[in-house]
Amino acid sequence: MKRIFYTGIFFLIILVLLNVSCKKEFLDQKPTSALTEADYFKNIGELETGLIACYAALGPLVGFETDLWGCGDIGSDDADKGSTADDQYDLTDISYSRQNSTNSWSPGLWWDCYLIIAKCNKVIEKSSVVAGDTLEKRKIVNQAKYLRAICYYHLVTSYGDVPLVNKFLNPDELNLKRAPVADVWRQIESDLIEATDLPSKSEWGDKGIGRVTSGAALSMLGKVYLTEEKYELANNAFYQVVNSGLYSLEDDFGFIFRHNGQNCDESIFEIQHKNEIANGSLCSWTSSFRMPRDNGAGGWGFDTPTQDLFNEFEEGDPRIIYTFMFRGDVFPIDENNNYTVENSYSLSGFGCRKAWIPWSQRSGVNADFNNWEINWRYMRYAEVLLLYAESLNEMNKPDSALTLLNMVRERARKTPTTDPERISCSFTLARPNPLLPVVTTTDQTLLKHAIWHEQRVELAIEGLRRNYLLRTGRFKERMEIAKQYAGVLVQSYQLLLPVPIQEINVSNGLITQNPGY
Amino acid sequence: MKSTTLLLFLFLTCNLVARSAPQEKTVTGTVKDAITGEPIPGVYISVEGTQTGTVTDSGGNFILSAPGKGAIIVFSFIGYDRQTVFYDNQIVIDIKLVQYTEFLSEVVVTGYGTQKKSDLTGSISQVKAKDIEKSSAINVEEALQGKIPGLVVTSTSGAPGSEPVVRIRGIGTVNNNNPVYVIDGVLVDPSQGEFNLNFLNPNDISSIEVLKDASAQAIYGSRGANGVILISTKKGSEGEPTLTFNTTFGFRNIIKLPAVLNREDFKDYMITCSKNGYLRTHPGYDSEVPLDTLISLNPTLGYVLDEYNKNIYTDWYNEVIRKNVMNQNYNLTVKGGTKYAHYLADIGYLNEDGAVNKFSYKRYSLRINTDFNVGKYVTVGENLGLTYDKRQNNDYNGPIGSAMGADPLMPAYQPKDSVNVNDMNYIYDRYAVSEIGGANPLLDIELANWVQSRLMLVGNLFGEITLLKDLKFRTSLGLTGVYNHTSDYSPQFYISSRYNHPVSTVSEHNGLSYGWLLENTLTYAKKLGFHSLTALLGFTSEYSDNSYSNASKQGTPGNYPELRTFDAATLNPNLTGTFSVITMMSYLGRLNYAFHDRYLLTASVRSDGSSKFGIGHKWGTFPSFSLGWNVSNEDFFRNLKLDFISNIKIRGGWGQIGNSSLPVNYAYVSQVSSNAPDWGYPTRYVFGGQVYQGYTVSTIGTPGITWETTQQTNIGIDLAFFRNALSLTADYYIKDTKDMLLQVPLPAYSGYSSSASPYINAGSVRNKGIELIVGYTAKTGDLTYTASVNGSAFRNRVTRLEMGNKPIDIAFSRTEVGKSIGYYRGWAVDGIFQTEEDVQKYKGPDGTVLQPNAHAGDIRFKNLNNDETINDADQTMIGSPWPKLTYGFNIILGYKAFDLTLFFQGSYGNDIFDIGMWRHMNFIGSGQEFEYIFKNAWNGSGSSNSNPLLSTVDVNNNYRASTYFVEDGSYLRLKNLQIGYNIPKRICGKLKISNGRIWTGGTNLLTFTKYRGIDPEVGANSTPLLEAGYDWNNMFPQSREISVGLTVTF
Repeated sequence: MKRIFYTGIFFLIILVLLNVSCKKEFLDQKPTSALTEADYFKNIGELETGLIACYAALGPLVGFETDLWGCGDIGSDDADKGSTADDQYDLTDISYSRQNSTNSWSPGLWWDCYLIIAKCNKVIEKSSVVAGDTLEKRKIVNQAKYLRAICYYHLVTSYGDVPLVNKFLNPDELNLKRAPVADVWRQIESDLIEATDLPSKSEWGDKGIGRVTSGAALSMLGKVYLTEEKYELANNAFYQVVNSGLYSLEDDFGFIFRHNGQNCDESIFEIQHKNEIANGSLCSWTSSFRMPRDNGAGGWGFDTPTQDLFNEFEEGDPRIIYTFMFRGDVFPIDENNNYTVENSYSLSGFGCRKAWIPWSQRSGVNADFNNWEINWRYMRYAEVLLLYAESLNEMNKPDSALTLLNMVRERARKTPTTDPERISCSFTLARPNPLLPVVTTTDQTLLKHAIWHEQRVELAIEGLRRNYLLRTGRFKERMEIAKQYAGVLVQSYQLLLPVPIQEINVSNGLITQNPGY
Repeated sequence: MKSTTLLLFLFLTCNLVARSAPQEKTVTGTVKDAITGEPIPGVYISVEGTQTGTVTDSGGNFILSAPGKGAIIVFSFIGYDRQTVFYDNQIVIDIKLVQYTEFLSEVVVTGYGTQKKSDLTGSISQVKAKDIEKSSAINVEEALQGKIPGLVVTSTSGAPGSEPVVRIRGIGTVNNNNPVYVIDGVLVDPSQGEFNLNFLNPNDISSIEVLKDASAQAIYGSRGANGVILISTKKGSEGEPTLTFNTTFGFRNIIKLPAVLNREDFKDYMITCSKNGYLRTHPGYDSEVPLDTLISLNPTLGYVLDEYNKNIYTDWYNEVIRKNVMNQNYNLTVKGGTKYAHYLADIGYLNEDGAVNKFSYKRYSLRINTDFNVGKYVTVGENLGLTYDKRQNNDYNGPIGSAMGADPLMPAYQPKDSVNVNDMNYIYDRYAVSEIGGANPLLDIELANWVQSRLMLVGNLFGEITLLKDLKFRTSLGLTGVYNHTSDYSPQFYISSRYNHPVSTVSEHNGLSYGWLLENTLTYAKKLGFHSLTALLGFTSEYSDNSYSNASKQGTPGNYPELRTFDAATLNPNLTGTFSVITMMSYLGRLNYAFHDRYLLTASVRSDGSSKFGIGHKWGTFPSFSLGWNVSNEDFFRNLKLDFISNIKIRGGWGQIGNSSLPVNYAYVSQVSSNAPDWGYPTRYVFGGQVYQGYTVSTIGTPGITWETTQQTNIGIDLAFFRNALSLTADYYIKDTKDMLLQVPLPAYSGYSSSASPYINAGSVRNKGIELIVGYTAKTGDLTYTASVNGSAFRNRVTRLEMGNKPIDIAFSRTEVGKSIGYYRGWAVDGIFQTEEDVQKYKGPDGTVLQPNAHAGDIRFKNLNNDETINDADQTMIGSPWPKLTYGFNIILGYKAFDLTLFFQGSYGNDIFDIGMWRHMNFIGSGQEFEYIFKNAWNGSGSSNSNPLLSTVDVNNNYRASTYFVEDGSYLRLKNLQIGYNIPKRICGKLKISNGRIWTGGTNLLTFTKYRGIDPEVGANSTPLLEAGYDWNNMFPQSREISVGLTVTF
């Protein structure tokens, strides 16, 4: 009897349990805190969020911007690595052009660019399945195309042949080889041409500050054509920028790099940063990396300008004090305290003024001293003018070239000789007469050198120099002169950076190393 | 009244009879070992119910006053079965005592049931409570270390409360290799959620069974692939309540730290590096390089020389490391029971202090196990373990690591007059900072405020009903729960512009993992003649929920302890968190069949469904079978009269098991999130000063992803000789992992960052191995001794990798087909160029100088492919993190009341990639250096042919991954030594206790190794697995412990 009772209970339990646990849904669990891809990118608003992620990949923490000054300045005659010997040791090798295939710094640009490219590809791909206004979709796609193009521009100039990825690849499609340089340039051109269709700066309006404009696309397109020595096309592109009337040189060179100079009239494209109160930080590390590594300064002391760069400046050029920090300069901390520059760990003794953040702008809730609200000036109007001048000169139009060149010099001349953010400057500007004389030569070679000179002093320590040297074939000569103290000897293969060794290994040899490494 | 008189009468008569018996009437005899025939001295002989007794002499002989007819004479001796003789006026009694052995009758837990050890067909190893007690282990893993062949336990850190890593039978997958644990039937996977095995107090364990081969594991289906460790906790038994108290006190000291440079050497080292760097870039320069030139090129050198002139030297090890830190452990157990109820309750307290101030671990544990017989057919009960533990700052290895690299010329503290003692932040501000970079390790310690508190619960309720005579139903509801609260506080302080926190940060992690596991099994056991059958059917379902939140907020006023709260903080609140649910359902069945105790069969199957996989891929079925043959029970064998062989059993099995231990739960679907996987940073951007939120594909799904399957074949033999005095078990296995789940590193041009790479069923791995354990127990005179040796070896080969068999390179390790997982890859060193001439002479086949950038003192790398350059193609396998052999041996000696236990454990043939040294080499120019690196460096022709010169410039790339950094990681360690004294019964009586034992001993007393780094045991622990065997030189070193202990039972 008892046993029958227990058997009954047993079957009852079994029935209840099976009922509870055997439900089919029991094994179906959906991801938490994330959407599935199948449920997303269905309308224009969602596509736009994908685009925001592309922009966002330009700016976070360390990454793209750091690659730009790391290779662009330090890997050129403009700057030394700076900082302590151990900090980013491998960057020293890039600085002295003795990097080898295992250099830990050289892959950074590759990685960061392809991360951005993949995000852009996703947006471009998804645009075809998203419902909505074609025009709006095209705006989104063309912004992504510009971002993709600038990434390829940095890839092709740094590594030569690179894999050309123009769609989002599934894991089983990842068997690309390096595409020839010519194919990459073609892709860059075509993306930029499409991006010229974007709204202009004025069409975007204030709400669109920070977005890619048609002007940004044209400027970049001009630079690309110039690099490819397609001068007529370059002129055409630059002409449109200059004639749009949307850009002008600021009167004060120093203003451009100040906090209120962000997105100024001279700005063509800037990577945006913002000190957010509620949501952590969209700040930039690029300044704290590059400010003096002095007790009291708050920087890590990288990217220190060379003596050679200093020597490039003409006597009395006011831009010098907005480019360099000198030992003994005094900056205010607050009402009672000052900071005197030491430029510790700078071989030349110079520091990088364009990265300097005054204390008055350091406040804010993200008081972490690595994080400041400073936009990266990716391209500005002065560069367009000087590139245009170079291109015109190549087309043997010295008069037009001179006009543009002298516009830039004129602005430099007008720039105040006292830095309002310094208490005192230990460097005394000479007062030559004439100051920065108007260039008049129409000799093509002389003018070319004058333009190159102007490009260097105007755009110093803005992450551009290495590509300027490579484009004009002066890299070896300049590096060996500027960094003679370190015994720099450039081998021809070192004009290109090594392809990341991880990339070669993971491709099982499909991706090859640049010869020489 | 009548009966009392009768009793009295009887008593008196008996007494009279005894008194009137002739005094010389005695019994004599000899006691011998039943197998060896050797006489046994010291055997205690007593007459039951009387005070009469004697002991055998050295020849095993005895003389006993003859007891009354019908008395029971008892022969007893440690290590032998008790024997009784009915006295029937014999004059001579010769006795053969049989050595006590559990071997044949021992019962082994096999998962969802038990089995007689003699009936086992799979490979299962067992560790008993008494072995655990002698290891003074503080967690389960330590208790297992070196005891079981095929099971490798490696310490991850010497920090208090750190948990070792356990690997069973090699490396089955590049994914998760952690075994699962089944505690009184409740399955616990420490690699999931917040769980941590530290929760289990080793004092509570009655036995541990390790299921090593597939036929044993398959009953755990998809959870079994990395091995299953079954833990049974102690239970009460029928009898008076007993109370046992035990305690351990120990003192710990760090075993070893690599010597660092003194003041002079440090200065010389800095100058040497700079000078060599200068000469590298100025070939042909042959006069003394002026210091000023060196300083102008390397400003760090200038700061070092300035500091040097201040005449200060700080021995950072001395500043940071504490000596003789204490370790205490207390346990109090009460147990007992009646016919109807059994109970055991245990409370434990453990406190470990760290060798670094503010590092500590505490554990409070409680266990209550009870069971009740309700009527004839029902048993119900529960097992419950509840633990609270608290870890302080031992989540990282910071201070000791930074002490190794800290600037030796920096003072520890600021000059007294430069800091204000009354300032609230004095405790931070008082520390000095270095001019050449690098932190002050003391400041690191001061800033460390990480505290983790966990409340962990594992238990179950069970009921068992006998439905029919041979049919039992068992239901068990297991519960697991972990609440993990971790808090941290980063104070606000200002020492200098580079050493400051302008604002304080309060942060907190709250994690809750809980789950239930419902198991219902039917067991049918029947014996019919020679046939013995056990059949099991079961259904289980499982649910686990892991949720967490991380919060931080900044800007508390001051550093007041009572204001380290979110409410007191004012700035920048930040909150993240999520939850995830994993569910599983399983059907299982097993059949055990034995015929005539000779032919054994086990077959099992389990079908598992998991929420981790997509529709159509959720279910996996895992079958197994195994056979055994007890040769020694065969008639033909008995007829051979090979009496010295007491047991021969041959076993063989095959099975498939699964592994679903993906670190991500929804790998089958692509996800879009507001967090970029690349840096974990928000995907927001600014347009027109406004911030906009972006969304991006954060993980790439693999819709077809499914179970990783491990197929294993096992052949084993069990032998025993001399009535089991000598025993041997050997196993050979082949373990194939297929459809290995792996996050394959994809080319960067894919745009997937390494953390977002999709998981795929990516390859196959084969492990082949052998395991052997030999034990011997014997006795001479008063001395008993037991020795056991175990060893295991495995060979690991990747047999297939998806995506075109591309190798997987992570850091300096490569995983590729045909080789072992994660071997070290790099260049082979071929000595040091002694002269510039040597460089020019080192040519390729066509006469090209192979290392044109090299100079005297640089490393010569082998030109393995005999071409015109030394390049990537000359890389090769330069070492492997996997040992050729791991082994352990135990010696237990007993002499009268004393016992001695020695336990050694070791590893042979594994290499360590000394990544810490590599890091030092690349960091030349600032910070402390190891003495052996400076002293052994090349400094002129003939000075060294193995260590390159030290230079701030490394044009030759001396410090690329090469054999130079690979070292032999073999070691042998005296893990435990214990000398114990068991308080004799008569003293116990006086002390009013029933048992007592005191002991003294130590842990990690001796280590034999050639390894120069901190500790060779770093070998297999580094995670992720594909970077196994790296020594980052920043681990918290192991300690040597000297301890005393006491156990008393009332």
